[in-house]
Amino acid sequence: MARGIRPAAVLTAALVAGVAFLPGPPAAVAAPPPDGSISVTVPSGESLAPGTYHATVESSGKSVEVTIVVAPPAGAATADGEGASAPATDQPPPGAAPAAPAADGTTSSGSGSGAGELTLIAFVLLLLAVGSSMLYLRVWAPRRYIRPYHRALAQMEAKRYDLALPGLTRLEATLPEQVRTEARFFIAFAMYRLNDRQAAEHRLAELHREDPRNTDVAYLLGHLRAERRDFDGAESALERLDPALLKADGNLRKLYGMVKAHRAFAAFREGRIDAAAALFEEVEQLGDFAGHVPVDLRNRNILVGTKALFDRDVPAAREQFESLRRAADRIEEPQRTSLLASAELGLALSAWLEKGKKSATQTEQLLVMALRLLDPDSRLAARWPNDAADPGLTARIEEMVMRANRPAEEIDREKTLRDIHFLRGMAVLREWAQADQRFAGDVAPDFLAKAMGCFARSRELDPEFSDVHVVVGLLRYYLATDEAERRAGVAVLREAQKLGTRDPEVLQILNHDERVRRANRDAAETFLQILDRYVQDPTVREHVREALLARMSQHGKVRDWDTRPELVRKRVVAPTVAEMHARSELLLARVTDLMQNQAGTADLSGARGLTLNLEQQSRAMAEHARAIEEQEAELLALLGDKLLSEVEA
Amino acid sequence: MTAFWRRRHLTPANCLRTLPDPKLDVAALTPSDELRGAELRKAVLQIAQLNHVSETAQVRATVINVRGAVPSVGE
Repeated sequence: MARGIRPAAVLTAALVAGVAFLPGPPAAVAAPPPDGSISVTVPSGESLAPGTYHATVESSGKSVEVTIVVAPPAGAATADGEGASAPATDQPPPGAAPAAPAADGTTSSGSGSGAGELTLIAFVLLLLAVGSSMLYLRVWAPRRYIRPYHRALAQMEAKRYDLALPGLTRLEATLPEQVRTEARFFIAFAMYRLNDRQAAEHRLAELHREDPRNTDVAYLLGHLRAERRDFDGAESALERLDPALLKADGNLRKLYGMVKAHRAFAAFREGRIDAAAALFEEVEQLGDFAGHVPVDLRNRNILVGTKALFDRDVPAAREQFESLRRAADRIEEPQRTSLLASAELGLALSAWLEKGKKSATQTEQLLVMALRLLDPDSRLAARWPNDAADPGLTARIEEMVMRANRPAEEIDREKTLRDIHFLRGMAVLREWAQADQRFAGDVAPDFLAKAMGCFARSRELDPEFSDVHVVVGLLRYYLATDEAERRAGVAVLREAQKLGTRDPEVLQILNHDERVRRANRDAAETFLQILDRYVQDPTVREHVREALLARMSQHGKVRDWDTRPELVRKRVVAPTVAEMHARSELLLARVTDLMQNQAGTADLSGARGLTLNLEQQSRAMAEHARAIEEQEAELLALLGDKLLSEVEA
Repeated sequence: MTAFWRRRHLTPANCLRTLPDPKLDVAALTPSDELRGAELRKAVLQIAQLNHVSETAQVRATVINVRGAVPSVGE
C-alpha cells in the first residue's frame, strides 16, 4: 500500500506545490480594457518595472491572489495612473500581489503569454490525470482483490485446497502480473493435492515454458513427473535450472540425483551401458544417492568390462580391466583398493573364460590377488570338517536366520568371497585335469589338498552353499581308494542333498548307497537269526558257543548282547558224526544263501573261503567216519576169522 | 508490490516443503538377477558359468585324468 501511495502521493503533492509555486502564466499589467477589465493604480512617484508581480486583492471579505505582469516598454502596457512603469527587476516590488490566472486561461494582456498558460494548465491537468489513474490502479483498485487472495492463501495453508482452488482460479486473470505467476503456481499445487495431476502438470508445464529458471515451478514439475515415473520428463524440467543451484540446493539436488539414478538404471536395463555408466557418474557427483548405487555400477570400466565378460568378449573385458588397473593406481584410498580388487577379479574371470593351458593357473593367481585386496586378514585355505555331527534342523534354521539378519553389505561381501574361493578350487581342478596324465596320479595329493583347502574356505563362508558340497562329495567318492573314503564322499553328497541339490549323478550315488545300506541291514538280520540257532544248538560244545558269543558282543550297536537268552541247552552225550555233518550242511546252506543275497559292500571273500573250507572238511569228516566204520568192521572181521577158525579146528 | 500482496502469507517454497523428500529404492529399481548381472562381484559364478552341471563335468574330467575313468556307481 505504502509503495503504491508514495509515488502517487508525491506526484500529487508535487502537482499541488507546482500549482502553488508555479509562476503562472505571465499576467499582463492591468490596463484599462475597453469594457470591464482591471486597472491597477500605483501611488504617485512609484513605478513598476517590467516583470511579474503577485498581489492579493481583497474584496467583500474574500481574497484573490493575482499576478500582475508589467510588460517591457516596447509593446508593453503601462500601469494606469500616475506612476510610470519601472524597469523589470528580479525582485518583486513591495506591496505587489500576484494576479489570479484567468479561469479560461486568458490573460489580460499579450497573446504569447496566454498560450503558455494554456500549455501549462494542460500539462498540469495531464499530470493530475495520470497521477490519479496511477493512484486508482495501484492503490484503490487492488484493494478489491487483496482480501480474497489472502483468504485463498490462508485456505491453502490450512490444506483446504478444495476451497482455495476455485477462489484462486477466479482471481487469476485479475491479479497483477508479478502475483499472477505465484497464484498460478498455487493453483497447480492445489490441483496436485486434489489429485488432478494431469491438470496440475499442464499448468506447471505452461509456467515452465514461460520461465524455465523458476526453481519452484521446475521442482514441482520434476517431482510430479518423477512420481509418474517419467524420469526423462522430470530431468528436462530440472536441467534448465542454474547448475550451481542444482548442486547447492538440498532437496533440488536430491530430486535431480534421484531422477538421474532412475535414468541410469533404466539405461542399464536397456543395455545402454555407456549411457548408464555416464549417468551413474553424475549420480555419484551429485552425492546424495552415491551410496545407493552398487559399487561396481559406479565405474565405467567395471560396467563395460562386466558386460564384455557376459558377452564372452574376453579381449574387450581384459582391456577394460587392465585400464582400470592402471587408473586405480592413480586414485587415492579407499577407492583405490576397491577398484584394484575389481580389476584383479575381472582379469581372473577373463583368464577363466579363456580356458587355455595356463589360464587355470593364472586364474587362481589373480583370484588370490583379488582376495588379498578384498580380505587381507583372512586365510586362503581351511580344513574340511570330517565327521562333523549334524547340528539338527532347529540349529540349522537358527543359524540361517542369524546369517540372514546381518547387514546386506556384509552378506554381499561374504558371498563374493565365498564365490572367489570356490572358483579358486575349480581352477585348481581344471589345472589338475590339464596336468600330464602320466603324473596326474603322483601329484594328486597336492592338487587334492589345495583344492580341498579352497573349497573348505568357501564352505566356511557359507555352510549352506550346495555347490561346494556337490563338488567335494563327488571328488571324494570318485577318488576313494577304500570303503571309508567312499562313505565320506557319500556323507558330503548327502549334505548337498539336504541343501537342495537334485543333480542326477548325486542322486544316483545316494540311491545306490541307500540300497546297499538296506541290503546290509537285511543280511545282518538274517545272520543274527542263524547265529541264534547255532548258539542254541546243543550239538556244539559249550565253550565254542560261549567264545563265539563273546566275540560277537563287540558289535554292541547292533544288539544288546546282554539280553541274549542263556545257554541252557547242554548235552551230556557227545554229538554223532552224522549230527555234526547235518549241522554243518544246514549252516553252510544258510550262510551261502545269505552271502549270495547280500548286495552290500562288506568284504566277504574271507567268509567265502571259510565256507568252502568247512564244506570240504565236513565232507571229509563224513568220509572219515565211514572209513572208520568200515575199518572197524574189517578189523572185527579179520580178528573173527583168525580166532573163530582156531576154535572150530 | 508482491510483498504487499504476500505479507506473512504462503509462499511456493512453503508448499514444496510439504512434499516428501526424494528417495531411491535401488532394490525396487531392478530385479535382483539383473542387478547381480551388472555387478561384477555378485556375478562371479554366473560369469564363470559354474552350475552343478559344469561343476560335475569338471570333477569328472579331473577324475579321468587321475584314474583313467570315472568309477561306475557301486564299483
